[in-house]
Amino acid sequence: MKKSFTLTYEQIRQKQLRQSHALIIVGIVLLAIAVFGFSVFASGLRDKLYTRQLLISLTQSSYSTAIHTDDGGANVAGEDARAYLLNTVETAASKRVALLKNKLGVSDDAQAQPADDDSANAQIAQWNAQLAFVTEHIRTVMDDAANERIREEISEANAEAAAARDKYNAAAAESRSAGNKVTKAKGKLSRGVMAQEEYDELVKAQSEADALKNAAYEEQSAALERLSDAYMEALDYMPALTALQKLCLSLSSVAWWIALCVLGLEAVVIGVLVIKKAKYKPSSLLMDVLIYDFFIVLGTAMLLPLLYVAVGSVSSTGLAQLRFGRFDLSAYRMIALSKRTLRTLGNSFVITIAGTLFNITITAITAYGLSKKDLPGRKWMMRLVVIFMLFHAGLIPDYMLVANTLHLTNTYWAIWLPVLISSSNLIIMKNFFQQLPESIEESARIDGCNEMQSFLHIVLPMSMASIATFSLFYAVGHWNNYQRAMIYLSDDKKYPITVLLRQIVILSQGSLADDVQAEVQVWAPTSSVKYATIMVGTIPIICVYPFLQKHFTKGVLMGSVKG
Amino acid sequence: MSDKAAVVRQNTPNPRSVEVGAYAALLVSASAFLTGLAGMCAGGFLKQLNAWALNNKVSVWLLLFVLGAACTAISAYVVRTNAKEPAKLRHIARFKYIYFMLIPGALYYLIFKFLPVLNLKIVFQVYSPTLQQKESVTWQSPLLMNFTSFFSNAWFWKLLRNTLILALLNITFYFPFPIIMALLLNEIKHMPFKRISQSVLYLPHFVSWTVLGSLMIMLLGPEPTGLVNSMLKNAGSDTIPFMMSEAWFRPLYILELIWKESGWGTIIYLAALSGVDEQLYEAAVIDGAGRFKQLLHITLPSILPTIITLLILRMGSFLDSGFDQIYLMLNSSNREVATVFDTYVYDMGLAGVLTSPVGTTNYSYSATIGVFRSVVSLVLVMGSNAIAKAAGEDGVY
Repeated sequence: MKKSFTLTYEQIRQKQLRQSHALIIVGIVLLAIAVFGFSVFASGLRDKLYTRQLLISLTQSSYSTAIHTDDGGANVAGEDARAYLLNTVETAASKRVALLKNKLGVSDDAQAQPADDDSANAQIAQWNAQLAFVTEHIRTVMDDAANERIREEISEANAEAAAARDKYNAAAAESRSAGNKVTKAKGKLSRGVMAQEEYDELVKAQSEADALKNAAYEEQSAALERLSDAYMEALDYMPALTALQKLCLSLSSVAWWIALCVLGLEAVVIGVLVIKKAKYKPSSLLMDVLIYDFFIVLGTAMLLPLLYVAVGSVSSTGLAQLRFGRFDLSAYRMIALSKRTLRTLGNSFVITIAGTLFNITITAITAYGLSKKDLPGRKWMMRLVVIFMLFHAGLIPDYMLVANTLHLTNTYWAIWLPVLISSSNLIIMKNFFQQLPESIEESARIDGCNEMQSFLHIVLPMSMASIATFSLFYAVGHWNNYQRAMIYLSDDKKYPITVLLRQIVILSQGSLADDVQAEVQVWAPTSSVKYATIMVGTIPIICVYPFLQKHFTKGVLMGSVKG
Repeated sequence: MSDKAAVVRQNTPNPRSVEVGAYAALLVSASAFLTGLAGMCAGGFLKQLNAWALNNKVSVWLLLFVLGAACTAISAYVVRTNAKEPAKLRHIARFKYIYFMLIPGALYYLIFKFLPVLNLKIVFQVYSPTLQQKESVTWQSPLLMNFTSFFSNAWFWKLLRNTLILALLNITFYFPFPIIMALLLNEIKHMPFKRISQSVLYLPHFVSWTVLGSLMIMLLGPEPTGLVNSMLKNAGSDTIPFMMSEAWFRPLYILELIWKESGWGTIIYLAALSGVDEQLYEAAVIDGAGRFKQLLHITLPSILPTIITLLILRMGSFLDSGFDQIYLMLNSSNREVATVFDTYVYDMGLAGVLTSPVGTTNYSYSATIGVFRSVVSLVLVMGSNAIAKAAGEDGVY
């Protein structure tokens, strides 16, 4: 235990104990906030779901009454949409209340069954409360300025429904008058005043009018359905929440509350640990714990998307609606049967392996040459390297060189050569070679080695870490490269996997098969296939990392420190 | 010491043979130079007769000419130095194998870095790949026509604005992230946890932009397939058109960048951190510094040079927004905010050749934009380097 100049050990301990008490209190407060927030959040959620359910059932019943009883309830021409909605819901609710009263038989002979009466009254009171709640909710929803669109939609649908209603009324009147005429004509016919033909004509007119009326009725029903859809959309809106509920919801998803809980627990645990054992320092412990938390959260965030894809690729539903279905490898089987995927994958391997070999060879020998400190002209060469690292001519001049001058388009040379040496890697590798002890090479030279031999037999074996690291850098670049492949390759047979990925996943066009006729024996959901393609396009390069990992730290570390 | 000198002397050729060799080299390279010159002239004069020299092969002659000129210069230098200070030549000759090893690298820089610079002449021309005949290439009049028409184009300001905003966001939000992560990683004493965290953080770097673009569509795309929007819909909220909106483009750009590259970016800082002298910490502890104070007064200052170096280099790619990433995020709804120099150059210059719906094949115009960008980047690097040096820090060069 290091002591500070002014404080004695006891004083330090006292201070630490005070800090740990504070930590425990903070932890408890955090826990309390988390529990409180979560309960408010949950109740908000419950209210929301409950209201929605209730509203939907209420409106559905009211619409079905309105549409199918043809009692004029839906005749709302010119009425304000909100008033109509309130009206229908109220009607429906009061109808249900009345229904309930009837069922229990309480409204008429309340004295007869006092016990039931109480429960029924409670029921009615509950219904009334719900009604008030729903009414209030609808009012807020409809008043909300954001619902302008929905309101417009509703009033449009309303107008439509009203027009349909008018049409239906007219048709009904027509059909009624036709019916009257027929009734009159029947009397006349029986009295022999009217001819049979004339009567037949009237009957025909009546049936025509009836048909029109029926058609108008259908039309009206359809218009009312549309209206009901518009209302349903209004109901999909969030109900009015209190400010606190809104806050809790906006911090929403349970994860926040869990995180707060965990933090509170951690604070309490640290406090207790410090009180129990003198060797822990609260500030240091707190820092450690927070750092661990940070990396756990960050690591999870980094992994989650990849995990989602990995799980999705073996799910029989492709994780549609977040349902897993069952474990299913048919997406991978589909890929294994698809010549196109295998070919692009093979191309990617060729591009990556050969390209990396070229890169690392040329970069290593160039870096070795430039690492000779007393090489005449070295300063100028380094200056040129830096200049070309900072100034690129640009895409078009590069393309003109590769395509028009060197005629390399549609060959892999166009992919390999323009990036043969990465200037920054070259500089780091040069620094690495410079740090190697000179005496070894010196003795080799005395033994009669020239620089090429000593590079091959001494320097290279000593710098495998650096070689491995930069191979990894180059390999990742080649495997993931999209731009050069897109620009320089035009033959479908030469495309690497990145181009296929873009076609299949981003543009959702192109297929795994070479041609439409290709027989596909396995079927898997499109999204599973996309996930599986992503996995196949990513896993090979990820697999390289563990093999190079042990060299990795050393390799970069030694060259990249500026010196 | 004298042994070493003797060995050196033994391994180096005597001045006489150097002289002979140098004259021979001078002869050969001068003839290469002359052949190149002649070839170029023949290509120029005998256009009608010699279609082979006429077409694209002019550059072959050019290459021969340049190489010949370089070799002639070197040989002349050798001859002159041999006469004046043979010792210096012996010193150079000691490195003959090294120079030999440098040839591929030099060729790479000559062909793939220097020759494109020569191609930049098209920014002063009316050049289009559809013009097959070289003689139909005409110079712009006025010569800077491409530049003026670009600067007066409405797209210029949009591109500049989009690129600058992305660059600023990049520097403010993305750039500090790896530094913070590296500092925190450095504080972890539990090695297995540290190793696992590092591996997990490095993982996204291995995911290509194409895959990341696909992932984004699956997670944030429209409702039936996009995960987040399906969840929103299920919760009864409005769906958010993440990929199709102008407002979401920039946050997503930065988030993608942080997700993919921030872990990888820690490597270089961790490297710098591993070189910090442990004694400094011990001294600080004795002086009563807590861990936070150690972080602030020892760790941070010791990686400051690395931070500055990377910041200066970042200035060099200030106008470079990452073609792959942006191109894969571009769609008709966010074109106004997402088009940057990289994608615009591609759309104006190459996309037409490669049959993209919006593209044209205006090489000259497109190359002009590229030049503008490169020059601005260069100025930014040199400026920030000068500032860093004036502030007493080491610059990049």
